[in-house]
Amino acid sequence: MHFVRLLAIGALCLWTAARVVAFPEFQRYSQRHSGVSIDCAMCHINPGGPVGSEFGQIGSLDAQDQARLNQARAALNPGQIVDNPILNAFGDRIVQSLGMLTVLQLRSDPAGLAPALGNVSDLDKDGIPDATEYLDGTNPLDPESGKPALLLGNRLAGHWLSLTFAFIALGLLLYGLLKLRRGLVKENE
Amino acid sequence: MRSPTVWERIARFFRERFPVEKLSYDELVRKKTVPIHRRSWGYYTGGLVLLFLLIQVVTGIFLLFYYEPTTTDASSSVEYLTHYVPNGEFLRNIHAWSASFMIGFLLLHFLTTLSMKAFEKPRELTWLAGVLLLFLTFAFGFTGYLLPWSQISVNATKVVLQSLVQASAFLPGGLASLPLDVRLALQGGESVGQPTLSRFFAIHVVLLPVLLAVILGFHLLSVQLLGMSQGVDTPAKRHERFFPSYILKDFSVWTVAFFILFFLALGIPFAAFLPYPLAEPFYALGPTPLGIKPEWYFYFVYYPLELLPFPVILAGMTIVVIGLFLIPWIFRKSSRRAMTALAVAGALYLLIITIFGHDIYRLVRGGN
Amino acid sequence: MLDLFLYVVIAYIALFVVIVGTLFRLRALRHAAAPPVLAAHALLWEGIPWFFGIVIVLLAHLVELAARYPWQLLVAHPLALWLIEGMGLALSVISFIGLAVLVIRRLLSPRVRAVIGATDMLLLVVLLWVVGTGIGTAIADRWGTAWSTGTTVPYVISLLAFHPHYSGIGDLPWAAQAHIIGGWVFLLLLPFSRFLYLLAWPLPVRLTPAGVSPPEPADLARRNALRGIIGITGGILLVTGAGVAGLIRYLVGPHLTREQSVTLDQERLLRLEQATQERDLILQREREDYILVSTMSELNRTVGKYFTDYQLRPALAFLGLDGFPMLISAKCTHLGCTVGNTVNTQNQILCPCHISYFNIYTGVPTPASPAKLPLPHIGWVLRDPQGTEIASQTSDGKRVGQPTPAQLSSAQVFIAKRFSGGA
Repeated sequence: MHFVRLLAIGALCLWTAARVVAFPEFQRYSQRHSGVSIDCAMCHINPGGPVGSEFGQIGSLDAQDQARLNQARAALNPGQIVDNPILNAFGDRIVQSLGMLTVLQLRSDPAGLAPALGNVSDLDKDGIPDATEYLDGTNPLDPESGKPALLLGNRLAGHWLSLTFAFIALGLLLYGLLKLRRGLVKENE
Repeated sequence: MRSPTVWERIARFFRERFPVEKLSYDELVRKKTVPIHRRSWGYYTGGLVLLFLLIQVVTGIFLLFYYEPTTTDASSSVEYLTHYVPNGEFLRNIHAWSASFMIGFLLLHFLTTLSMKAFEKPRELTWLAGVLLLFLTFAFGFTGYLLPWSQISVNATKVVLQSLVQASAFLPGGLASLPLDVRLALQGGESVGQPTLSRFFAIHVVLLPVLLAVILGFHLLSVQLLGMSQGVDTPAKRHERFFPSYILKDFSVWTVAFFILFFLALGIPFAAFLPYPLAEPFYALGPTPLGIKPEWYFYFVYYPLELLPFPVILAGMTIVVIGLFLIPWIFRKSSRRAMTALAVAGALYLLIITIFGHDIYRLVRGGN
Repeated sequence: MLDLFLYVVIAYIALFVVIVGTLFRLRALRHAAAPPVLAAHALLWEGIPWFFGIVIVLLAHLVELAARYPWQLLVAHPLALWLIEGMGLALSVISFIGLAVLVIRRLLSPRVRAVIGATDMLLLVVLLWVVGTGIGTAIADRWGTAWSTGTTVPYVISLLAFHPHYSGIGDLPWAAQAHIIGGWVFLLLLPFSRFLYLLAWPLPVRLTPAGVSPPEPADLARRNALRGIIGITGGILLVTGAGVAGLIRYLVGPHLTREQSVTLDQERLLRLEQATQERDLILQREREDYILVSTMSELNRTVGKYFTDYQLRPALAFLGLDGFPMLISAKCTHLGCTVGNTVNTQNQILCPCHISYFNIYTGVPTPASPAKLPLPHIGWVLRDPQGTEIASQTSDGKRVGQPTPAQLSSAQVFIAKRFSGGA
């Protein structure tokens, strides 16, 4: 009975996923939470979303891409490698980490996506977890996109050697200018 | 004794304001002094603008090595530079941050020279050159903004050029077509496209730098020939030598400013202040994304434009622009106290509208 | 409005005044000797309890502001919360007593009264108010150490970040509100009083005039100049070295992997294809008398289909209420942005640039919109699958032809050069 129920849910999810291609609930939540406008490029290849016939949209897929799409939609459980032709690396990571079943369930609770993803994944390696970037409305695949205050700390920490040399250079220059002024001003007085 | 002719008066006017006889080592180096008083800090602001300009020139030249000024490749070349070229992102960030610093300190320099009444005789020509430099710098900012060919670049430029069309409705008779002609000249076509990008690139990289070099050269030479302005009502009792004392202090300020810029460019990408959809490549066949705004240094015009009727802004801007050029004559007899009050009022307006313009807009109009 | 004034406007004015005012006054402060009232014996009952008490309490405020999350973790432990609250209350009471003695002495001693001014007294009263309301908050609305991390700390941080959020402050207990307002008033008055020496350590340390130093021997000047040149050279070498090394790597360029090369070329190809698409559009509009917009079956009442008109302006195609197509310009009449294609419940489409709403049936903007002119409708032509024209409508609504429902459902919608005016 349990197995039959699971099969039914899986079939329902597959049927739903096969028909519903965009999940605007996540976009709406991210916009509301962050106060910043975002577009579909957070998860999709095409900024306009998956519907259409342009690059990265359903209408432009050839047979091979269609097969990849169907395979990606069947990744119901977490841990399966996902290579969806309409999703970018973050979109693939969400499905890979959570599974399509959970993603579909989270449509009714988009706030739960960030805790479900956790803080491990940081695809653009900017020091801000992808889940945080989802909440902040920034692009998890662009290291230049992120809350400035968070980026500042992480980037300065990453460039500690350059900063050290910069401080030394600053100190030397200011010391030198001060000493030179003391020396020349006294001489010329 | 006969009264001087018009030509003699004009010659005297320029001789007083551009004393070329002071072009000597003694006058420019050995004897030059800078007054020390409570407003002396204002003398450093001009030097800082020059520092950031030099940084813009150097970083701009190196950015040219990768930038491709075509609508198909502009945004790709900028992305390539930012994400693949070693230190490309850092160079681009320095250029972006330095632009903001330059304009910020330029406005500070403008306000301090206004409050110190540095425009009074014989420095009227220096002031005029300074006003031209102010407009040139804003033109740099406007033309440079389009070059990445991103959503915000193109749409913000379209919005500004479209407002020229609005202006034509309020101009009389034959002048009505002038804004449309200016728009066509800048756009190079019916809409913003490749001709626009080519023109803006040429203006930003060649025309404006040449104009700037000429006018800045005049401005700097004029400052050197005439020396620093008095700055306060009672002439300062203390002075310091321009060489080496003042110039070494100036270099110290430059050093600190440069390293602050370095830290910021290293730590915060300028693009982080924009919602990421606005930094995406421009797509002509799609809808305009939310949040299109000019760069922060245009907010003092942008938000009033959003809040007040267009003819009011047009009239106001015309008065201000003409007024800026005529300041040495309008305020010839005003006291420094009055000029300081005017400068403080100007500064407060700029600060409030720049920092809180969006909040004021939301308060008045509601929504986002 | 009152909350906005009390918690935002006054706050910013206070911050601005205290920063600018203190900078101005510091010049005078450098050359000032400490005021005579800070003699050692007077410190025992007023200066020391006041300063030590308030400095520690202020430090705790600042630590909480700077490290909100670690502070929250700390005060989550009941023992830590008790200790911090208890110590804070005790120190506040001690500082209040010291302050009260300060005020009383100034009121009673003619020698001291001669030194201080009205602003100074006012400032002391404000301080009594601030410390008093702080104690009141601690007693009446306990555990402020904990609840402030979710209320007042975010408020202050939002002020410093120039995105003021003050909506919850008006709901705080009145003592807490009075404490906050008192704090801003204190900062506002501080630069105008003699109490800037409050910034100094409260021991009888004299603020000696600057610049008194022994005269330097003649060769020290040369040594300084030499040190200066060495320092500057070292700094320049460091900067130049790092700069040149970085520039060389910049100019040499990246070593791309095959995957990166492929991705980059794919993106360039995509842009070229988009540019080709745009050129195609231009050519089509120059060559053709009719441009296909959509089939009737693709049209929708609530989501418009974008197309480009003969003037290369964006436009939208909808299904009209009468079952015929409805074509409208999508170029906002305000400043030319492309309006969105989704119709809201009031039959309006939105221009996102400056928030103008246009009725899709009349094209008229709402009165509150910055756009004042209506979006013009665009004429269309209906053709059956064989290419025969079965109906048309001009931009001002004159319709010709009465196709049957069957013809209508299988028809294709075109724009025509003859309806495009300037084409």
